[in-house]
Amino acid sequence: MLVKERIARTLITAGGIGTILAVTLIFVFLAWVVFPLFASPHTLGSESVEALDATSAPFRFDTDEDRVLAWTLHRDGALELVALESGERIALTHPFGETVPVSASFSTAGDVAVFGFADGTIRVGNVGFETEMLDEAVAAPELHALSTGEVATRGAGVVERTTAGQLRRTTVGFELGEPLDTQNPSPVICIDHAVTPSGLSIVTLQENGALRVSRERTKKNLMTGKVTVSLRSAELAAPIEGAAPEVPRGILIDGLGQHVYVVFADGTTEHWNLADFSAPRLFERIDLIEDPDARLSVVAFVGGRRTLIVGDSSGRVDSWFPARAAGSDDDALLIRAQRFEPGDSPAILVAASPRSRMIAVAFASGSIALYQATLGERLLEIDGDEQAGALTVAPREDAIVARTSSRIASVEIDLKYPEAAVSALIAPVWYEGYPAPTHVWQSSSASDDFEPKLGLMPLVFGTLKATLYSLLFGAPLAILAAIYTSEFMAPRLRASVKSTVELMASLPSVVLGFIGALVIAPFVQDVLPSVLAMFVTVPCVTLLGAYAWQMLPNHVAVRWGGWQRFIAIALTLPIGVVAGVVLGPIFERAVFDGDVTNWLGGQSGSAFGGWFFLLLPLAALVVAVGVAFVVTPRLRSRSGRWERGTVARFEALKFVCGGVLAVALAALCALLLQAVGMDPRGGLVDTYVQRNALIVGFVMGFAIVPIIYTLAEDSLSEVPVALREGSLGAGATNWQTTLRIVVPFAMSGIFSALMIGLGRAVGETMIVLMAAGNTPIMEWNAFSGFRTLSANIAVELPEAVVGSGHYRTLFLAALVLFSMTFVLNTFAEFVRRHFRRRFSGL
Amino acid sequence: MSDLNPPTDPERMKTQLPARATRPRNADAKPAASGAEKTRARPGGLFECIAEGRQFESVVHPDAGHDEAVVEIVDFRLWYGETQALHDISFSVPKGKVTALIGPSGCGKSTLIRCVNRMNDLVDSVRVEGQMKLNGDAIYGKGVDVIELRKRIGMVFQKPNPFPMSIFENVVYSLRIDGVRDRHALEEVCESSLRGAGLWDEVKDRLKDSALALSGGQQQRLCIARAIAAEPEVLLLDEPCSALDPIATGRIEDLIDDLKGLYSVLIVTHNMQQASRVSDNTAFMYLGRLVEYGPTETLFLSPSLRETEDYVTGRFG
Repeated sequence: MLVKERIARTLITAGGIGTILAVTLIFVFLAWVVFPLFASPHTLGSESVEALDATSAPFRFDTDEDRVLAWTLHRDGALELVALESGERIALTHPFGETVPVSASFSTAGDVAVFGFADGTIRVGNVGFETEMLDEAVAAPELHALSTGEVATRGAGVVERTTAGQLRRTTVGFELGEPLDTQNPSPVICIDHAVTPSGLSIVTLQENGALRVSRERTKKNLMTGKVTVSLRSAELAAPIEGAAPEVPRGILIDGLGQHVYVVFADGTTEHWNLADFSAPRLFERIDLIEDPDARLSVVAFVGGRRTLIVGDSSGRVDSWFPARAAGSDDDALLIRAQRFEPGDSPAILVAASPRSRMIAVAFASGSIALYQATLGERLLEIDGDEQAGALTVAPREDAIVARTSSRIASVEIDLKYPEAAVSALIAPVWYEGYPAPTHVWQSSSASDDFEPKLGLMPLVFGTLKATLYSLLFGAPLAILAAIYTSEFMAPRLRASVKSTVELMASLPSVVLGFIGALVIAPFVQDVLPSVLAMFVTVPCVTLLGAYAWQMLPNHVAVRWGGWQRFIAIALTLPIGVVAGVVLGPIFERAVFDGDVTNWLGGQSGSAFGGWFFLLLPLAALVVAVGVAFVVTPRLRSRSGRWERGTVARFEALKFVCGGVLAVALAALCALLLQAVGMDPRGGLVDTYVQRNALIVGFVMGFAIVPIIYTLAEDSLSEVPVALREGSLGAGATNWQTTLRIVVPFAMSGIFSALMIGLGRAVGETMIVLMAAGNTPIMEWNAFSGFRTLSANIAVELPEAVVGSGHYRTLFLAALVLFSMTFVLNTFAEFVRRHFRRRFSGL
Repeated sequence: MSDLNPPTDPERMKTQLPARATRPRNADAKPAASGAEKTRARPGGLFECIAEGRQFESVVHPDAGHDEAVVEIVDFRLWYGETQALHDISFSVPKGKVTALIGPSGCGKSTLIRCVNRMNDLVDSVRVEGQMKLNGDAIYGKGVDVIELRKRIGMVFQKPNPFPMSIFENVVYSLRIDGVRDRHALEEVCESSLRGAGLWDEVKDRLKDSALALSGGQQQRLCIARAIAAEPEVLLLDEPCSALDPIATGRIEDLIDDLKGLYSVLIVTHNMQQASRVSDNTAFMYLGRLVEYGPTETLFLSPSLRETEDYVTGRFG
């Protein structure tokens, strides 16, 4: 016996400690994954090598992923290759020959290049790193000696032994297409291009003032298979005869080929829109430089070619992007989104990261600042004493490489996860194209140029919305059912009813979810007016039934107190449903202009119907309180002597009058609100989406009913029999005993049942995943969808790159979820204990 | 059974008098069957007769029935499912007096007293026959409003059961459920009831405090105050002192003494001394039958049946 006891105790202790340990470990693991998100960016060290002088600011300077090789395209048309390890120039070629380009533009990633020439022609080229694996057997013998990470120069390229032990040769490839005629012999002095989904868009400015956009058209001859490339051009500004226009500081075309910006040195910018390609339109002329003394010194796109970075001679750096004003269909005009922490001297160079919204800005003093363009935060400041002539962000974003007049300096950086900074996760952020800072969750898209939006708020909001709507539906149902079974039902029925309700919990939530999404959601959409009407008719019919029951003669009521009454109660539900089905469409025709879905969409009807419907419960409450506290006490002295039947009839009359009064009150308030010009659409109700909070409320309500019901029923039946007997013995009715004694006593248990139901709703995944539409929007509209933390994790974690900011943010979401349920459950337990101690005198 | 001293023996009574200060033996754990065994040793005894389910006549002393009856019990029978728990009980509780129900555990005292205000309705399997009357009104029967009935009867239970609310609210509970909101009237009733229960002086300064903070004895007196606040026609006390210490028991007994005359009291007790001290009439029950009923003095000093004498003197039970 003793041994058994000891074994049992050991096992139980071990199990308990194990559970606590497991929960702690999960928490620690989540925190472990999340923690790097909050680390600040830092530099890992820098190195510089001497390099031959770059005469003037080159067209372009770039390095490869491993930073073994860098190429520079000089203004004189020379392509220079430098081995970064040694600073040795390993090749210097002149791919253009005699015809040196006047202007050039490169993609952010550096592969597509467009050159403008003095004779008015342009040529499209490809310049980029090429790598090949060398066969060890045929490779030169001196390469065999290379150990991992070591680099050797080999011809016009660099050979490196990779960590996998292979020999990899990196070199630069350069291809140049045929000249394309612009039909204008004037030199192309400014050029920019964008690789749009429909092809290449090139914007050119020629010396004679011709500003034109050309779209590359590729034609393939079906017979011969020959591909011909031609340009389709549109003039933005016709050349002005004789007058030499002021030369702009730069012209830029955005990533979609829709917006063209012509930026002048004083900050004046012409913003052209190419939505209608044949008729480009000057949208606006705007000054990007606030300070009249400052001159615009640099302008460039952030990765994704949408946001402009504007630097001026005073060191200020701003970001601008086109955005529509909130709620309008007007043209998207340039607005300043961020003002970065300024530098100490004029900003001279901007290099955008090819893989994120990070930009590097070089200042005249030699310092370089790294900014996160979306958040407007300065990530790092790197001091330097020599002005950079060319600047690039390494492809892996692990270094900034700058070329000064005599050196190539690379600074290794570790940016951590700037896009998932705390401010981005919880505060509204001004994302590209948005009229104002907002909370957005949009973690990934098909395009690499995508700006990740990692605001957790829409997900937290979605979780709360799901919880709220399901509790609104499930909690009253579960608690009232628990009270009914524990206090009013025959004890024989009680056990079977309880186990039936508990059976509800055994339905897998995925089944509930797809029934909700595929059966209930379309059905509710079809019969929406009836469903909405049932919210009114079912309670009304039930109450009417109760009053009707009171009107039965006393001896009948007493004799029928058993199963007859139960059946009568059960009958009120179908009657209420039928009433809803009948009245719903009538109501719809009367106040919702015949179609409630259209009405919700704001396409038709007045505000009256919506207000009336929303205010009806409130009006009913006001009337009920008024009757209970004002009318009833006044009548009590008289009604005390009445017969039971008279009282019942009078009460029923009072109920009907109250109902009419409530309807009148709601209608009056609705009229008033409509007259004031307020409309409920846009707040609690709005456009109807098939999978919405109402559906989730139904289905998840169904899922949390058993847990709340069971726990609440348990706590109700734990109320000491002595208390119940005391109350009944004092002549209280069952209902009075329940309201005054049993429910207050069991309140802690009911409350913790609610909290645990809440925790279940917060953590529920499959139902919301399937029935909530998964749109991460923040609106209280009962008829729109949402995305919860849990559903978001389920949807996105399988696709998130392990270790990425997105991945860690999803873990953070899990941590938030864990904390929410943990806090809820702890709070529930705390409340329960508190009350238990309070009632320990019994 | 040493504390169930026979009052018939003056010497022993004298020696046992201080026993009032000791905790009375209230939870008699001895099963009734063992009592039956004991009597089986004496062939032809009444207990054996009852145990075998044979018919017998209860002895009702005539001088117990002179007063006006507040509760009249006529041929009352009760079944828990298939088991009959009360057999043909007939006696009446006189108005303004204290009537005690005694008998060994399981004899049906509590069942009987709970039938008076139909508390047994709460038990699913209960079935009754016969009749009870409260001041002439039938307690059982179709069309009897149980709630109205219970409002006329006060009840105090074994264990103090104050409601988890303030002392004031506890006392005026029966008025509250009738919808009385007149503050003045409530306060008046509260004070008079608490005075009636001898609790006023102890709690008058903390009427707003939780009733659960009171001691066990105070709680029980609070329950009595709550019961008398409704001005009941009869007060049912179901072993009101069984969960209390001797001092608290003494106070309750004094209180019952004070209530005598003002209220009609039906009290169930395990404690022979208590019955003899507080009651005017006593009914002795055994295995669901009324054995003997009469004035307390008669029943304790000169009972008609030897079995009653055995029980009240503590030779059995």
